[in-house]
Amino acid sequence: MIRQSPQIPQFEEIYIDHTALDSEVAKRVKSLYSSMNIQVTQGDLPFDRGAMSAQEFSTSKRRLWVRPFPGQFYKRCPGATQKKALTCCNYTILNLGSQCTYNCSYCYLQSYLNLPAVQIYSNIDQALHEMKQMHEQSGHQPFRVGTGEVIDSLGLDFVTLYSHRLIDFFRSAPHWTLEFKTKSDLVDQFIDLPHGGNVVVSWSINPAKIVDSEDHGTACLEARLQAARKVRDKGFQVAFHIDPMIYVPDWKDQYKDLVKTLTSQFQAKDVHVISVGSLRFQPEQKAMMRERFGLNSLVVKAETFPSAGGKYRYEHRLREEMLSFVRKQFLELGGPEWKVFFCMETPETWIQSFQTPNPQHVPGLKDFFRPLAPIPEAIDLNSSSL
Amino acid sequence: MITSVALATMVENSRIQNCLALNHPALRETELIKGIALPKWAGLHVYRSRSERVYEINDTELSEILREKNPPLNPVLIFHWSDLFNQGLLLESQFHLLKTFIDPKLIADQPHFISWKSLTTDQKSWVVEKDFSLTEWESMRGLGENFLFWIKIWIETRATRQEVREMLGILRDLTPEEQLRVTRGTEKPAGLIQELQKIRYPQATEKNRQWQQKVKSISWPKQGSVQWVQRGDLTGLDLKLFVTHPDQISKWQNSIEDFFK
Repeated sequence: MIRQSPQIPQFEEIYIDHTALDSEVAKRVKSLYSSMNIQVTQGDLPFDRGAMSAQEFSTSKRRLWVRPFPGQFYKRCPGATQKKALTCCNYTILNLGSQCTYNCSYCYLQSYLNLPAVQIYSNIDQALHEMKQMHEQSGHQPFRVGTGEVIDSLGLDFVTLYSHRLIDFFRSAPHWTLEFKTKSDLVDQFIDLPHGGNVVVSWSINPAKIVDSEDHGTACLEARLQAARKVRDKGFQVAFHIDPMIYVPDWKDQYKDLVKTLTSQFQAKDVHVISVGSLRFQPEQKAMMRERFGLNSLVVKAETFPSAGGKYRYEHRLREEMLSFVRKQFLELGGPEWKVFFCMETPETWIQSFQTPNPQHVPGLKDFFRPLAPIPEAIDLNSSSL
Repeated sequence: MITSVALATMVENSRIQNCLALNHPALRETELIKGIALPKWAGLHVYRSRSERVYEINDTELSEILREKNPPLNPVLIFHWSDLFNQGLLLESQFHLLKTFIDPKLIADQPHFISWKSLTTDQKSWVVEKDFSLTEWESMRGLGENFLFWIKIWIETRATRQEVREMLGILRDLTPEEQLRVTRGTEKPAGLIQELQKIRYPQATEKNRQWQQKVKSISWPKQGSVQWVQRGDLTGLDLKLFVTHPDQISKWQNSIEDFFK
């Protein structure tokens, strides 16, 4: 049976900040969760802040909090801040919420977030305004904007319907690309909307057995691929992130099968990009993963070691072997037109597979890596009207 | 009966630990309080403190504090609540409160607590002498019943606190069965650490063994030494050269190229 992701995730507690009560998203939350006692809040939720225990982190996924985001929405991907250690692809991010309703064992949010609830930001107008500002300055440059950095792009989209606003905005930003990154199969809510052909729906994937073992609460691999075929048939571009690659004794067979499945169901022209990354996590995440997923999790028992950037990773030769293997499978089973690159990897790993530390020298990848205009630290919100 | 209770918060490794400190005239004189508990409280911020570090409190107040602070608490004292209760040091009502409000996994009859009573005098002294941190105690509690197996080994091998910490770091990732897989009789802590690494990282250990074999099979230039080492996620050759002439470098280079072929 195909395991799908829930359209309306279940929460045990729902909070709406009093300043967000009139927002469209708050009204929709109230209507979709009408049977629940929704609490109106002022300021922070009445829970401790600071480092979270495993139990607190798990509990935070069962609370929903609708509130305006007080900071800047539009930012560079964190990988770009480690340019000395990592080869990065000029990705930009737009966070319209934070914390994920799914429970992947390796999820980096476990060492990144200390929020007591899943948050939906009610002030999407401000986010769109920031993007409009940036677009006025750099609309001609090929910016890629992703909404799935600290929240699954589509996991709550049936609740927020933010995809509608974003798809509409990107119709007037033809040189930019919008990416929804997800582990869900929730695409029906936007699939029939008119779009500018510059919307990529991407899935983080792994071989089915690894998904079943480590991606708790998500749609299974087949459901994700089914959703990908659906959006592809409606003219959206798709992308896949084989990330994080996880070692199992028969990893070669499993990843070869995965590449075979992708190259048989999709053509290179449908697929915006394939990014590949290997398992990595911050040291402080180890205890959290151990407590939440037990010693039999493939991630907890992985043979990982501290790397130069501080994260735990597989020994570098194994890592290079795994990444190169996947790239080679795409070359052999799909052909050179498949655009495959490595995510959050060191220049040394790039050299091993691509014979260059500079992705701009790799055919097909130049656009992803060429330097773009910097994003201002503070976007002036008053200089243009919506 | 327990006459004073304090709820304390301390920050260790940027993690807030809520702790319940118990104080009792009878306990005050024991090595438990003198050797283990009190040093741990140094520098703690104690809630509701009056002139002393701990605050006299009755059951109702204890109940309120426990409710207010929303445990699970993280008790650092190494005894079973039931031990205290059985020794008449804890009122039944207090025991009931603790059972009600503290994560049941942390209460008596569970192997998560290290029972002070189960330690020998030598072991108690060793524990006191090492002055372990909260995090180290947490890891030791994680060993459950295997703690007694390991404390014997640590004392026998005269492991330093640093070596114990290193072993605990590996033991945390092992199942209870794997934790017992070390060969008893290993003389030195370094050997034990190697054994544990072999259990925790079987694949990396085997790969490194193969590379080390290869190092031996290559003919290296004289006047220098070469070793296969792992540093974090990187593995490679560690070379020490003594060069008297530039020509010698090319000999080393040839050998290295042979090695990585």
